[in-house]
Amino acid sequence: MTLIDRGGVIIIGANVAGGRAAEALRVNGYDGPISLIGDEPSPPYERPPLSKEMLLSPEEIPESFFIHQGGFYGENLIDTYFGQRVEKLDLNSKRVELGGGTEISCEKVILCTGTRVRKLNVEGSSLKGIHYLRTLEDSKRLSAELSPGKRIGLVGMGVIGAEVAASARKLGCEVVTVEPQKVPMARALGEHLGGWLANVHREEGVDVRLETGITGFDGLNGRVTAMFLTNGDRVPVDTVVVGIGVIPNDELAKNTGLLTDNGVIVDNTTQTSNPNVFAAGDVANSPLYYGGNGRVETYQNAQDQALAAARNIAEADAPYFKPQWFWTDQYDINLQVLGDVTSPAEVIVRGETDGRSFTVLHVRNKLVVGVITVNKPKDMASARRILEKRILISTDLLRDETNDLRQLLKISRQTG
Amino acid sequence: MEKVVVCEKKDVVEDEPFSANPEGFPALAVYLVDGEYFVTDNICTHGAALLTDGYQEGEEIECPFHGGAFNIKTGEPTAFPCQTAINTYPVTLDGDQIKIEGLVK
Repeated sequence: MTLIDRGGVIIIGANVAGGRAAEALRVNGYDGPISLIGDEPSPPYERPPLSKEMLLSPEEIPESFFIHQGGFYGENLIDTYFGQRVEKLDLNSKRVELGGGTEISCEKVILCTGTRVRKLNVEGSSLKGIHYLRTLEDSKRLSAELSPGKRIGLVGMGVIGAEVAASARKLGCEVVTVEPQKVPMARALGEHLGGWLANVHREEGVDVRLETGITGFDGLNGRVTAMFLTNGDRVPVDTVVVGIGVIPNDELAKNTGLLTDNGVIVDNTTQTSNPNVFAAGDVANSPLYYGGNGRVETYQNAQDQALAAARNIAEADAPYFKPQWFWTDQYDINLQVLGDVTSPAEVIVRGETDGRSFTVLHVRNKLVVGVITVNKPKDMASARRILEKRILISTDLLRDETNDLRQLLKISRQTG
Repeated sequence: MEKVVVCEKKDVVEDEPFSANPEGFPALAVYLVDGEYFVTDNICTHGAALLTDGYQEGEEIECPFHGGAFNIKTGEPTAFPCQTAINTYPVTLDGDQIKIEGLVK
């Protein structure tokens, strides 16, 4: 047993949340020891490109793929343990145990342990050629199989499935998607906009099968050759990508006695049930902007919740309370979603939802509570300020497309 | 050194950055801040977004894609996930024209 007696802050999870937390500790003036531990061999990197740019041109990893450049960790006196798994967290002795028996001491912990992919458990699901997508290594393995003319089967049409479909089409593959829900990205977009997205994929040549599940896979010599669907169809494929959601990595927290329930329970300062332990990103189950509690699986949340955790350690009481915001790029579409777009609300559409450029506003009790923009990033920038600052604008004004959202925001601020 | 015309003053409105593509330069963004003109690169150093599609508020420009931001006058990043500064170009006014210095070949 080796003890590295460092004290200070240990960040478990070297990803967007963990990397940003380390950086933000220094930015906020924390000058004690920082240890950043992650089980992937790479330093923290951005996951969004894994289903897009990294599949399209895997040989060109831009510098900005990694969230910090070259000497960042050394210059900022951040000890890094990449490619190392935390086996145990002991909050009594305040030690973290790595595989191989090394222990590191600490005063405070930030848990950024993220999620892992949910695996399919049907006949043939362990055949070769069936992929999941979560890490850089996953993305590299998949990209090697996406050559022109290959038949790609996608199980699940959430964000990952939809983005991989778009990338595979761009690479000249034939794509079939299977989704049990009525529309793609149902949880994020709701039924109407989900239906619009299904049409986009069909226009781009994807064979979109909705309200259809998978019962198993056919294989030859240990490799997948076809998908069996709930409607009895057998669909021949060369490669399968499964994107059916994720499971929070909350076992470490649970085993050390922290409150967990579908993730690590935190309050709106990112503190767990132990005042020395904080959690941020996909694994944190936190109070939500529009009520209730939940995990928020977005880049923005990983980043901003981690910044809040770091501020709370470096200074004090920095509340974190932001509406959900995410974006996805598919084909020629930049789609952004903010706030609550699935609860009952008055829906205002600016532009035509049968095209590829429009804005949808969800209004409740005179407040904009949800926004979807399709190739309208400028509208999102204005609408985000309207929503977050709870600026009252009459629905008549919002409905009138001759009123630019930015102008409405400006006028309301002056008069408001 | 030869100066290059980027655009005309009338092209640029306060809080509405103008996209300019003079020959020999990367895509440029031109801003008006409190009566003064500024020029930066237009492509965000984080993603592949055009800053002229973003949201300008005073001397800050927010990227349209991911909410990162830069100071228009210095090019320094002011909000995550942007971390690398964008190039800025010293501006000269010549009548109605906005000019910057030509690149050294």
